[in-house]
Amino acid sequence: MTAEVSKAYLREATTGLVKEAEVWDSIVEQHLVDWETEWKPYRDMILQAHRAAGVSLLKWPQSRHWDWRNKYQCVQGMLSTPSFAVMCSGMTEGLMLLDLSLHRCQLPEQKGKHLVYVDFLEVAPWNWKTSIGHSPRYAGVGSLLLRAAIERSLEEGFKGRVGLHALPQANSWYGKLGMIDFGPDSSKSNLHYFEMPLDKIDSFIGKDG
Amino acid sequence: MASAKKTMTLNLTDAEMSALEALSDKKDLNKTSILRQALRLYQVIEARLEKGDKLYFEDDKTKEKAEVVML
Repeated sequence: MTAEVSKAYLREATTGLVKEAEVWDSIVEQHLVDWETEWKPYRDMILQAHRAAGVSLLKWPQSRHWDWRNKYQCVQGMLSTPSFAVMCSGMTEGLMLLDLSLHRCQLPEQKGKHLVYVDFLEVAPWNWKTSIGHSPRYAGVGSLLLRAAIERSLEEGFKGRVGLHALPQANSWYGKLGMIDFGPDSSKSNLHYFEMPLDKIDSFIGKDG
Repeated sequence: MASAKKTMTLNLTDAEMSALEALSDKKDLNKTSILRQALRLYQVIEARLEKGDKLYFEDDKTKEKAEVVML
């Protein structure tokens, strides 16, 4: 399978410089190698710093156990679970898995309609904001991935509808984007379920000027 | 970023076309989207059955489960 790549931009968090980036419409081996050789050691370094600082486990990065090779292998070749990656300067900066089949809208005005469900979305650990004051390298990687999910929803005829369960540390971020918080979902470890209302979609993907 | 697509001709009976049009209206999706969605679901179900999983429908009120027997 050949991935299609589209141009995008990311902002360096410390300098404010805008850098050219790429959104890939499929995870490929290179992204998984970056995860194994670059993300994991960096993540372990961050976790070590949390341990050394005596940070409560509740405040440790909540995606720290995610294994992208395993996640990708579970869905490889499945039409209903497309994957995406963001790259910048030759390095993988974010990864995402979607589901197109198994979830439906909960918003009353869209109830039961198809949506793109964001199964997993993670940015590289050097882009994390952590409780030990670690500064992200790039801002906007998560937004680029969520925009890709909305664009996929538009391509599928789902009108841009997207939904997801958020890790608790990301609840406020999805709320700030204008997604509706349905509160804890007992069928999903009490993670909060979010959906993007239709009137926020155009502004999020930058189509309303 | 839409992937390149190939076109095919599909021959349907009147009944099949009616069903497709009804689903298209109900789901607010065009016919192509409905068929693509059906293909994805078919693939997911086949993959899960091949792994040894079973497919059930559950009554939301009674929680009674009925296995869907796939041939």
